[in-house]
Amino acid sequence: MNMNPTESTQDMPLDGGERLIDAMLREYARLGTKADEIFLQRIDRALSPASTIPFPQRKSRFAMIGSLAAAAAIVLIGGTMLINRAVNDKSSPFAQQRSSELSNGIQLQTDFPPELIEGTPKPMNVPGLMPVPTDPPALMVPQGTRLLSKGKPVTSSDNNPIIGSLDLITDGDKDAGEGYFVELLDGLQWVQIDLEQHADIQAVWLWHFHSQRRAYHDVIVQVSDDPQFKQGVTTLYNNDYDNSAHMGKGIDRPYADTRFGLLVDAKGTQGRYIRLYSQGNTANEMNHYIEVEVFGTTR
Amino acid sequence: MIVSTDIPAGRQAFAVLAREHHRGLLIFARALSRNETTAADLAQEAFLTAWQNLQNFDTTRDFGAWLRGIVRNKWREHLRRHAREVDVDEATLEAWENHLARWDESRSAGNGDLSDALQDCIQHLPATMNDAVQRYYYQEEAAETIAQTLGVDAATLRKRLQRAREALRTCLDRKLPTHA
Repeated sequence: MNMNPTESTQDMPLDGGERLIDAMLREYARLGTKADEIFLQRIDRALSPASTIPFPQRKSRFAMIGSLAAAAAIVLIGGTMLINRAVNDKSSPFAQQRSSELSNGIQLQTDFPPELIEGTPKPMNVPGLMPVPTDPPALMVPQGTRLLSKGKPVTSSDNNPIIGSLDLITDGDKDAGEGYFVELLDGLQWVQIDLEQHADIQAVWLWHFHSQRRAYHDVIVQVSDDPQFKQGVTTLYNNDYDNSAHMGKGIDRPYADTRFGLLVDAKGTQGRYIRLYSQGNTANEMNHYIEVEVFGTTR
Repeated sequence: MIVSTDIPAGRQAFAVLAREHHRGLLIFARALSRNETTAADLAQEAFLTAWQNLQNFDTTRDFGAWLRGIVRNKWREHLRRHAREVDVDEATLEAWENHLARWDESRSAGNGDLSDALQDCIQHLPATMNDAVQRYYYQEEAAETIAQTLGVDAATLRKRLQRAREALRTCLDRKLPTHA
């Protein structure tokens, strides 16, 4: 809870009726802004298993699971119909609100590789793993946002990859088969893309390996103007929940790689270099990249 | 096994519901606190409380109204810790609740979205009021700056904004009628 209630209190005295309209005007004025998206991310994170386990002190584990199941059932029965209707019905307030919120920018677009699942699946024993998505992620970005990373030079902590070559990471090909990915050594490894110019980075979209369901450990995405990443580093994404990469504990959740990739909102972060870390995966100890796309704007 | 698959689905479904209702809840919380940060905190805590007490929710009731009730309780807790802030009287709270519920109801009945209705109402304000609203709310100019730019004194600007808000409330009530 905010402990500084006067921080941004508006100055004009208002009567009751006016306050509601005033609040409405202020809320709709920030519609589609970063502050709006940050609030929604706060909610998503607050609801994540890592940060909120209902009734941890008061109930036994068994009772807690029962409560969660009951809660989930209520939401699914009482809410899913509503949600489905709201999301699918273009005339619904929800759809209209989303449409209205997105009106200030454009939806980020990319091509998705075909589904190709091979081999015997291995268990993904990672706490807080995100559900496997059935739809591509969506992100609104400013007008003029474009792909900046295509064909740009890539360096790595492992400059002699076991399989493939680093240029595959920015060659624009996201297929899952042999010959389309690069395999790096085990342990914590990074790849780095040089955009060759300073940019306002809006999004980073990455595909590690999607022909087998697996989750990569310690996925960290950073931006900097320093090629050594010693100063001016902004971390866009970090799902290292136990700080095993020793770069600070992350608040993002582990995820299973799919053909939809991982879309990271860069929120206009400025920089020239993008560095991505990983430390093996749930199937083996190696690190893989099929493609990384960096979207942004330049001046 | 059922639990392990249902919990994420339930959480995801709740997150979608939260996205659907967050705007109205932020408006309510902001009307109470008149502070953006406090409003966001109140709304977030309300969503968390709702999630943790979902088994108590009567599915025949309106979800938005339930959330607003939680925000009211959170606001009262907040007031106990911040003695300088002033509570809102019950009559005003009831009036806000009625407005928000009516707008929700009207929206559900397919009579249009509040955001679109608000934009339309702003467009139909007299030019001087429209200008004041755009500058004050959407361009976030300071009141003093607006007054100087428009060549009016601060009291005149306050009056214009007050009349604009009254006009918008009337316009919204007309645009989003309920069938009740």
